[in-house]
Amino acid sequence: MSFGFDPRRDPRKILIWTLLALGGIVMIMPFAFMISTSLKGRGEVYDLRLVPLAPTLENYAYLFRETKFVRWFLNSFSIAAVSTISVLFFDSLAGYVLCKYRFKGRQIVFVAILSTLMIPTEMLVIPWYVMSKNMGWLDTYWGIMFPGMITGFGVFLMKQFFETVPDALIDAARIDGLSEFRIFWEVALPLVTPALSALAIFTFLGSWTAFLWPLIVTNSSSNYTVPVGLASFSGEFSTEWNMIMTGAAVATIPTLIVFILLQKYIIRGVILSGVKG
Amino acid sequence: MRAWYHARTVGQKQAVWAWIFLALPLFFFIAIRLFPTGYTTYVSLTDWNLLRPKNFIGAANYLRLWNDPVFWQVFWNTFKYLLIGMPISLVLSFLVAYYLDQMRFLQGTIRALYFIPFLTTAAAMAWVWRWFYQPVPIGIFNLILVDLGFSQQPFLRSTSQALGSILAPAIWAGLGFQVVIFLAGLRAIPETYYEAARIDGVGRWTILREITLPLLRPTILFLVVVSSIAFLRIFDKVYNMTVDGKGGPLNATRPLVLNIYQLAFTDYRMGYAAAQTMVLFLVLLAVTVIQLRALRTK
Amino acid sequence: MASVNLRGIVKRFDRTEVVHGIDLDIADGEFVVLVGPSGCGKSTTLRMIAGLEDLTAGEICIGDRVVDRLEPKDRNIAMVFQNYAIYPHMTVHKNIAFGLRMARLPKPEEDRRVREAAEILGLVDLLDRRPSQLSGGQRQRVAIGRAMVRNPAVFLFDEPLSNLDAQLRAQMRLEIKKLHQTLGTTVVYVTHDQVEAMTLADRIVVMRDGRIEQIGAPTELYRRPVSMFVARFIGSPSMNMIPGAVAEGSGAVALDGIGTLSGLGELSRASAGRRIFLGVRPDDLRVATEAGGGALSLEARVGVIEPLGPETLVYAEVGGRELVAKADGRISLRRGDVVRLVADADELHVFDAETEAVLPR
Repeated sequence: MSFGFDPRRDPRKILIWTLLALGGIVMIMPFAFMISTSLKGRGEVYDLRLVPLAPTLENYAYLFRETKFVRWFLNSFSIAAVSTISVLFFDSLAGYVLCKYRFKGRQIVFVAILSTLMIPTEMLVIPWYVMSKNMGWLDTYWGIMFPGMITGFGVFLMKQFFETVPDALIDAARIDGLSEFRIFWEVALPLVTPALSALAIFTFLGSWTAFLWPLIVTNSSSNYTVPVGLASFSGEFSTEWNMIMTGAAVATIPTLIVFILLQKYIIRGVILSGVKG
Repeated sequence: MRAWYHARTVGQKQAVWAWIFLALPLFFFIAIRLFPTGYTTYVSLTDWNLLRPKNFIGAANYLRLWNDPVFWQVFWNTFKYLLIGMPISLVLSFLVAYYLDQMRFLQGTIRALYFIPFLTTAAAMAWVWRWFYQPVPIGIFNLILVDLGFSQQPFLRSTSQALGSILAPAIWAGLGFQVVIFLAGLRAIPETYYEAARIDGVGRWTILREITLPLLRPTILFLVVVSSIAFLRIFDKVYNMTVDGKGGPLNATRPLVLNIYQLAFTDYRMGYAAAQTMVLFLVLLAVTVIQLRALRTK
Repeated sequence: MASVNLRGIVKRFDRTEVVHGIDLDIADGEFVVLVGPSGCGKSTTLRMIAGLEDLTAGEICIGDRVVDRLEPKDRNIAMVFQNYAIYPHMTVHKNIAFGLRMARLPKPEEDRRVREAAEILGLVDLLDRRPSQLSGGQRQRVAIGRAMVRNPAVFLFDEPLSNLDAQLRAQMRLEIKKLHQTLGTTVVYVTHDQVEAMTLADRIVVMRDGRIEQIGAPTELYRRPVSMFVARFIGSPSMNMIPGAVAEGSGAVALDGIGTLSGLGELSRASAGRRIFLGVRPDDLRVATEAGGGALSLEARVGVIEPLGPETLVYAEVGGRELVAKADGRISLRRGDVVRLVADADELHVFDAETEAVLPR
């Protein structure tokens, strides 16, 4: 909505714009301080100027050499990547079936999956813990990622999006002689790539930032994910704020880069799933 | 098998494929979501502590919970996060979205600035904010206060200020998501409504009250629910901003989820922890049901 | 090429039966059009022939082979859909070749067939385009090309032209007819448009509420409709229907507010007093200025006149009822003129008002 003012001439509008822009800058100040401090030596930590006098990568070098951050980073990355691939495949397959097939029991399956959306993770961690203990999954990659291999949210999102694929295309593919799986894979799936990219981004970020379950299921420090590792690391280094900020920066910078590269898709994805989901 | 398959009609073959495709997801949802839900419900009726076999004790955990002052403190803390955090974040994000929607200059960039905190790791940001709250000469907030001639504040070390100090980064992190959704909602309102109102000479406030807000109702409801659920489930920030992740000082900041975590995985009181997850579940369910009602009465 | 035989086809969705037992024999090389209003079961019938929908009861043969349990790809058919249903993420060439690739045809043979189809359909220059870059007519040609290259025994068309504008529709109609004449393949074609049905079909099957109302050549349906439904559905403007009753005496009816009419021949199965409708097509109703001629001759007052160029539609009032007549385009009439509407006995149709069936004469 615009009221037809010329922004260059309407002082009220200039004022509001300035306030909004200042607010935006305040929003990212924590990042600025975090990165600035991660570049400061021990002596400079108490000096809160934004641009370090003597910027140094020492903290990063120490972090990568002397702590398990690199390991945590690889842990988080592998877990997020595998979870994302699994979620994309199984959620879209289930969503496709629930959207495009007519068979007895479809409604019951759909309601069952939908109802899992109402159950919070917190309620499930005790059984998951017991299950992991019994199966020997505690303190393993699989233990960290098994609860997130398929998501109800994704199934629901993909089902909504497959509604946009005309049924006639699927009929045409059947007449062309594609197998049922190849109809899904070669005809339907390529037509919902916007939804897939949104789902991929959410799943990856969700896995990357997950805290409660990895905290519960991991035990030895070499199996930590970045957030869990950061929490334990920061607890240990509780007074060396430049090191803690370096750890926080290492955990945060990848998502910032991803956001800068994929900003358009991420915002569109948030809106799509916010409106549809 | 092959002969059986070929004897099916086309529709029956499709049903066979549907079940093949659904088999694994369905197994997953039953084994990883639905069955554990029942299991938690059962555990909440036992005195299980991982070491000895479970004994069925009926509603004893729920009775204990009713008489447990820590539970009530934690329960009340959780609602404080919700009741303070949700309205503040909604009003702030609406104001930002409402005015940003009228701006064209660098709109996308400003929106991105507000959105960035939403994507970042909560645990990492909690430590950044924890640092901000430190006393002089470390923490920036106290440095600013002292520079301006005020006295230092204890922030995270005070039972009265700690909860608000944790709420601030929680609101900060969620604001951008709400701004983006509000902006999308505002843009979905057809321009013709505003044009008609302008021709009728309706004032800006009346337009906001009579056109914008009513048409934004589904968006507002959606955000109320999403942010309510997020505040009710607050955990990462409290864990990382309080000493030893205990939700102190004196449980002043401890929310329900942190309490559950401590009970289950530090004290191994699984039965009692499970009973508290049931409470959390019922609260979340109530919030969702109320929202669905509100949407339907429209 | 092959014949198609439907025996007692029934289709039920959950508890509602939408097709109630259809028998239909389509000869090899024949162009048959299923026509009827929406919801009459014509598309469902076509989809059952294609194998996209199960039969609830009955049997379908294509080329003397029972195909009930065969998958669509094994039925030797090809289908063209209403919304084209071409794959938006593939080029025109890939769209046309896709079915052949699935059938594992050798590459040179595949290219030859795509080329041939593209030439017939005028798509040669568009083979590398994507569907989003094509117009509606071009997309429909791609869909037809995709069906053609399969060399099917039967072509199935499901309202292929209803998404096109009027001019393009006429053009594509002609192309489909030419294609049929060139290839000589059996065609089953579904439409709700009676003009398409009349112009394309060797035989038309008029359907209503899941049943066949009448089967026949276009002119036969036009000349000898068996029911009021068919009479009104075929032909434009619709047949005039004048209510009345069977009168005493051989071949006489009393038309409400108009008078008695005789010379219709023996109305064998109707006793006097039975309510009827007398039907007469606007094309068969001549506008004359003086009395004489036909079995039916009514004095009418001209209301609205719609000149269409070669002919003029005259809406005239008789006994409180408005009738339409198609007159020569050069006629000069004015509102309020009194004219005579004349028709011959063999151009009149008598329908039973209760059963809506034609009364045999």
